[in-house]
Amino acid sequence: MNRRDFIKASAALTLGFMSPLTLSAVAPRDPRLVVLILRGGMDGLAAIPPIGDPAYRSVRSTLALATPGDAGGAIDLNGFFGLHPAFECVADMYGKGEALAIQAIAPPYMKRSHFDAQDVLETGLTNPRGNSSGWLYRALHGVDDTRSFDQIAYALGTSVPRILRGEQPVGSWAPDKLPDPDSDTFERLMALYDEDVVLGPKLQTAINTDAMMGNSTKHMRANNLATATKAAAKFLIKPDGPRVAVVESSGWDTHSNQGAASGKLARKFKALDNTLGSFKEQMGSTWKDTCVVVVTEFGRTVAVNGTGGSDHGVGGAAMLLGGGVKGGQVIADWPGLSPDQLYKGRDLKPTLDMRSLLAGVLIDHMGVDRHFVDEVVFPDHRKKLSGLIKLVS
Amino acid sequence: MITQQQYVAMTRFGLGPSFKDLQALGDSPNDWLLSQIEPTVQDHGPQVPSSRRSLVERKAIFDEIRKLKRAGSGSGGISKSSDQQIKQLRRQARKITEQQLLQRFSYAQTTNTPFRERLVQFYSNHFTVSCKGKNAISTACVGYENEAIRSRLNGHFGGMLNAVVKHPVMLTYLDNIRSIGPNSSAGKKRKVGPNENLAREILELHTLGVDGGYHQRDVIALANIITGWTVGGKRLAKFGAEPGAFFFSQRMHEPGAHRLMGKDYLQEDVQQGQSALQDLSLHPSTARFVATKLARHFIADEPPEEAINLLTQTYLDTDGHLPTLHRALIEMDLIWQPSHRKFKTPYEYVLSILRVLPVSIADKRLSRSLSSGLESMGQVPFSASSPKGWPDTATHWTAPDALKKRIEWALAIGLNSGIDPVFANQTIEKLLPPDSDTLRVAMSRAESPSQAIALLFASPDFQWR
Repeated sequence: MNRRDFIKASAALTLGFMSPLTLSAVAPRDPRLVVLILRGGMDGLAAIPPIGDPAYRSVRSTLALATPGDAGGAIDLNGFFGLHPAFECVADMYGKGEALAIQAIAPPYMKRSHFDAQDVLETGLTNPRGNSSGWLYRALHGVDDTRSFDQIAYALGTSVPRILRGEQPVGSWAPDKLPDPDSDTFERLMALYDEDVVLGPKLQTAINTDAMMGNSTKHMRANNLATATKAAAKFLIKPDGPRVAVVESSGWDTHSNQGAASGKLARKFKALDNTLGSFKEQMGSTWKDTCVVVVTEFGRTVAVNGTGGSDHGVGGAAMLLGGGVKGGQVIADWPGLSPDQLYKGRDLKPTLDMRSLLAGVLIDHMGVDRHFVDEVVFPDHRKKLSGLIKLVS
Repeated sequence: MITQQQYVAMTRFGLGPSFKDLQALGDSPNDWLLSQIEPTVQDHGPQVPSSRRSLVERKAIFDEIRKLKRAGSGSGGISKSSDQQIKQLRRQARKITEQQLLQRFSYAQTTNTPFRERLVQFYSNHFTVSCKGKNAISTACVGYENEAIRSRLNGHFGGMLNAVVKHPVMLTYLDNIRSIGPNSSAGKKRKVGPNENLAREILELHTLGVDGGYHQRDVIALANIITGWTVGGKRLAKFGAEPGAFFFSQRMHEPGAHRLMGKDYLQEDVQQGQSALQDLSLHPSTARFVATKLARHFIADEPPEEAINLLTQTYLDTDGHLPTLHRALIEMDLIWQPSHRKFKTPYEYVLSILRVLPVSIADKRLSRSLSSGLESMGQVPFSASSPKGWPDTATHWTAPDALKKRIEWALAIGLNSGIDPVFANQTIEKLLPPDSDTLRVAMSRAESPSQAIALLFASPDFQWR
């Protein structure tokens, strides 16, 4: 078999119009979207190793995984790409057709600053300005839901990340160890907040959230990824709850001793995998309508650095999980790992624009109009990846 | 009632309104601020052990833990008593960190130079170190702030930069301690290379800024220039390195000249890096970057261009002389305008509340509430999620849930303060912003003194500075 047989090439990118089939297909689904941002630059070559690339073992040296079947070996996905062995739950979903992987993908940003890359990733713009809104925030305008944004979308964390920032507040939730104030004091205080145009509406949003969730999130106190996703599930499965949630995870900037089959990065993968596995369970019957997009701002250098880690690179990897996802495939227009195939001789060359993936999810999963995505959500970009989402007949 | 000038001096420049500050500044808020820039009484900061001692002590604790674990792995499992000991040692390390953070907070809560303290925290955030993912530095961050930031506040930006980059805590945080030149004598023995992390952040976050005109080749050049900038430990002891202190290792340093920002650095030793840092500190991009951050911190999230220009020019005229730059801030008219406002970060917010109240964080209940409050609001000191440090804009800190948590915390502190009516009345009379009639009325009508002060702390007026 030729390696192209395994790989969906860029032919999957369509420039065409929205087909009527897509429209009717989306209608019966009440979709849920989770965007999970891995901050710091997750090493995509460690997560989705291209084990079939002839250069893989030599260029990755100590970071390379053993052959599938051997101790600590990669999990084989399609003969060419594998999965880091820590991803047991993801592998299970992949086998069930509920997870797919994307390789050599990146936001439209070719330099190596975390913060600029995250801004590009979250605004969906090639040149974000100081006050540019997030792409997911703009997409909310195109979601078929008449409620206010603080009811449709939630940020799970102590701050609202840029991806969900815009003029109107969205909902937010983080673990709470503080006592609720008595109602008399609170009413007096609310009168004061009526006068603050910036803070008043935000406080009202927080109060609405409490009213909706009652006591169900009261006992959730640990401030970590598992708690945030568990809370996300609690919100998303409620019929009157949000349809969109953003969860963040930090600490992916593995400059030193990242390890291979075991070690620092493997432990982070394991925690992520457990979280994703639990999330599927927590979503229950809503999982079939769910799509989780796992993204990071960039990949890392192909070669190991002097301290057993990797430095900032360009091309990275992403994952899509959920009952709504057309899983069991790896999407990549694979550029190759041999030194002459690398970007500037050091990084995986990105061949897929992150916005094509996100547009595919917004249009085919969330039912956002194609023209709206082209004009408003990603105004500098016109492509979309097809075939990411199962059609509902 | 206090004047607008008095209020701005205490809140935007200082750490919040307090009776002590009000008395000290009297009718000349300007002089009060100016006197804090180069104070006559030396500002030593919180009395914590030196970072060097802290690093060595922490290492001893964790060496002990490793020893216990190793002993256990040989004899088929860690015994119950060893396990207890390990837990005890871990708790000990955690306690040291907590204690230092409380000392730091207490220092800021009681200092007579709150403007200066704000500047310390500003530069400490500019040169962020964080224990997130780097627990090895957790007991030495406050020491780092004293040694590399506070003690350099009366000099030039370049001096502070040099102290920061050479500091063992920064070298550890951004992975420079084992960054080895591939052609150095240590590098030739085994296949190793430089680590770009610290070099990249020096250019992007500490000096030029991301649009400051550098390229990947400059990152690599600076990384090579500071190879061998490391910290003394067991392995380096035979070369004369002192444990926990900065050490320049010629053996690890990439030999030869390196070209950074179009200039060749020919020195063969630690001078090469010092000279490169000095030049970076004088670069116009650095001037503009630091000026913009200062303007954003003291004026508004989107500071006026004229303020940035003025500060940039002051920086360039004085080679980055910090006291002159800070005086220029005070002398700028537009900084005093009430139309500008900044949203307090959680740390600033909590600090401003505890500068009003006559309480000591030696009180266990208060210190516990302080720690859990900062955790809930998302700003435990020295735990920013990246070397970029804490954001300095309202959009980051005003998520609905975060706002609710601030309010809950403030109400709890106020309602439990048990203050007497005299204190409440004096607060209403003296510490409220000049144009806050609604708040004044609400406080006067409160059902108890504690509710009155709780309303002040939780009010929208008190969220801004």
